[in-house]
Amino acid sequence: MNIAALTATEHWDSQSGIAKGPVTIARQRRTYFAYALMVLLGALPALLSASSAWQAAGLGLWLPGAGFLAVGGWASLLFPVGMILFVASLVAWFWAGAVIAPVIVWLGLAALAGGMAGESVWSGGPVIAALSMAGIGLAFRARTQRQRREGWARASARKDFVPASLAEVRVQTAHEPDPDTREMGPEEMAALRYLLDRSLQPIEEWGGFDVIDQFQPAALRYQINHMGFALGVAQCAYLPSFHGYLGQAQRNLIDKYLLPKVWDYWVLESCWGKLNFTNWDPADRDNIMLTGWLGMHVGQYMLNSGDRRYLEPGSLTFRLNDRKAWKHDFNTMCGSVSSNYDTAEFGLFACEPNWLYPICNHYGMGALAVQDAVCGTGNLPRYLPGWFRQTKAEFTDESGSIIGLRSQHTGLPVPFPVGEAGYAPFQNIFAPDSARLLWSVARKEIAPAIHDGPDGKPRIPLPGKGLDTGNYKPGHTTAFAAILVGAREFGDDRIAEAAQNSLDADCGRDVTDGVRRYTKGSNDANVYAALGQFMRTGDFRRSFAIGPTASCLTGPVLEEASYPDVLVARAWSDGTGLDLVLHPGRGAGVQSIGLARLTPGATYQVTGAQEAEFTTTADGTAKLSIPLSGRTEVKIARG
Amino acid sequence: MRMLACCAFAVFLLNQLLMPFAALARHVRGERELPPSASVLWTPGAALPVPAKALRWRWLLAFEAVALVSAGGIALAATQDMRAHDEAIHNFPLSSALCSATKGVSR
Repeated sequence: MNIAALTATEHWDSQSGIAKGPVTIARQRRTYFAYALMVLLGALPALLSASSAWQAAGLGLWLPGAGFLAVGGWASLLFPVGMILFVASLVAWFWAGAVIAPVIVWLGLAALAGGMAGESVWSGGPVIAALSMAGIGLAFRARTQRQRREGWARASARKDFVPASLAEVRVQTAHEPDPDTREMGPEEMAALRYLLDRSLQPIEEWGGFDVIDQFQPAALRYQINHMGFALGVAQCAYLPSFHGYLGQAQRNLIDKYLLPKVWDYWVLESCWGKLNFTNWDPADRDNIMLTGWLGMHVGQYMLNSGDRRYLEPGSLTFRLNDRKAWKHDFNTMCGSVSSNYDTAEFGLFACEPNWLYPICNHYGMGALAVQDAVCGTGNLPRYLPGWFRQTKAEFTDESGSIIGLRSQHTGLPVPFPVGEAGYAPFQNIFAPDSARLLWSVARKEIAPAIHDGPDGKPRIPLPGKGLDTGNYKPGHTTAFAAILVGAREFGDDRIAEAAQNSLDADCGRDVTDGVRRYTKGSNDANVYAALGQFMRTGDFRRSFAIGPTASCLTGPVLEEASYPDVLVARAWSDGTGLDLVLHPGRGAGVQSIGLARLTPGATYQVTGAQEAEFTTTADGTAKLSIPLSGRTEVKIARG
Repeated sequence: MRMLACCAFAVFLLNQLLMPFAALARHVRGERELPPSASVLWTPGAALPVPAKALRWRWLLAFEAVALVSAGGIALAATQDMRAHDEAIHNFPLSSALCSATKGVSR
């Protein structure tokens, strides 16, 4: 079943039962069977009247730390401590793919209880352990049933409002901006400078990045990828005929990504998540958070610039040290994604060992889509139907929403905060019809939150303190930026305006020296806000699936300009000429720019430069002097 | 080797134990108005300010100290309780071969 082929009503009609696919059911049964076996095994020492040490250790298999109940006395207090430790180990498992952490804690606590046991066991221990098991089981069951009821109610509401909402989204998305006339305004340029400042610094420097941990959402790799996405959208939408420092910035980000500091988390995760102590190739099994994201990033750069250097073997080499390196390129990166899909039981494959994130699998399918656009590989017809079928079967809850996270080993779902608004722009790259369906849900569920602020402008007063996933601190910058990106992609101007106003009013907007930032947000949240600032209807999809107008990929380009002295607001070619709009970045003066891909030996007419006419060199290049004191149009045309 | 494994396990457990305290500390500190993000304020050529990070580590160290003292107190109380019973002496919880290293008992 392809969700893209369903009508809205059919989609929510299919949510009337319990949402579990066959692989999920089989994996959960295996988990429950393994637990039942542990309980049985744990009871054996008592049934066989084994030593007290064995009985305590056995009881420890029922629940983490339950063995201390058998020890009795003060040691019984270690039972709740053990449970807390076990929860913490689950966090470690989730946080960094440390599969061994809960195993070590559970079995370690059982062994410890066995070691602490006296001559006899406390008779109340098994009773308390059994009651605790029952209590925990009933609590989970009640929670699941409550969530199902809420899900069914939400599905029913969605079924009512989605047809009309979807019709509105279809109308909105039908109007896309004219690529021939686009120009960045002051706000877009100020946002672009935030990205360029960070991207153009030396490769091994990390000024302006949040360096916290390399496992979860604040990791450097996500900041780098999102910067690449934003620069790629800017290039495709406004600056397709500008290479120069914009291309350098994008290549710098890719070079940064290849530093071990960014990706060597995979060495640790391979060891403690897969017990693999030899092959740490980051683009082999799993790790879609690297292959999918970097694949999208590199492919987007190639699609919008015409540069094909990352198709060369070894162009994306992950060098760990003098002895170990893994040579990859764009095609092997995407090849890892497709080969993992070929063997994925759930249809989606893992980020960290064991953890299946549908959002990262959207990036994975995005990488395959951009590979199709760059190389004509034909991935989408091959992989998309199965991907949707499995996503629908294994990763859709009772409300019709995509489940945020599922454990591959146990089949159990885990709450993870990604909603329709988060998935929709990514799905728009490879499945616009179903992406519009997602957004038709998101916009109606966001709309009631929009209220006019004290200045009379619409805002989105989100509840609570929020969480900035880019630095794990309180704040709504990430949420506003994500809503902005979704609303822009689907042409929802009122929601976009409300999200932008909320960013400006609540997130510490600051513009200093022509650079815009939100001081209450993380770097990643700022990057996402910049992306939203650049975007208009369909920009995200175009930058990954279509690319710029063909004439821009063959016509003259602005190849050299000094940053930040020359800011480029528009660079577009009709195939023979070049239209530029330039601004001074550090005061008025005459600036030199370099052009390339001109017809060798041809004469061109110029307006906006000191030269009125020039003849190109044999390699098709030329230099011009531009007096810059404000917005300056430069037009170059064949004489 | 056995002792080493026990120590490693103990350190692992201690780290796990401290995680909620660190989270609590962050939560408690989060109640105050957050300072502007240092990374976001960065401009080319500027160095990142260090004091905020140092402060965070002092908080963590303080919590670690409190947790260690608490853990020691519980262990002492448990020891006194178990030594009160003759039959428990040779079954003293931390004197097994498994964890002799954490108690410092040479066997």
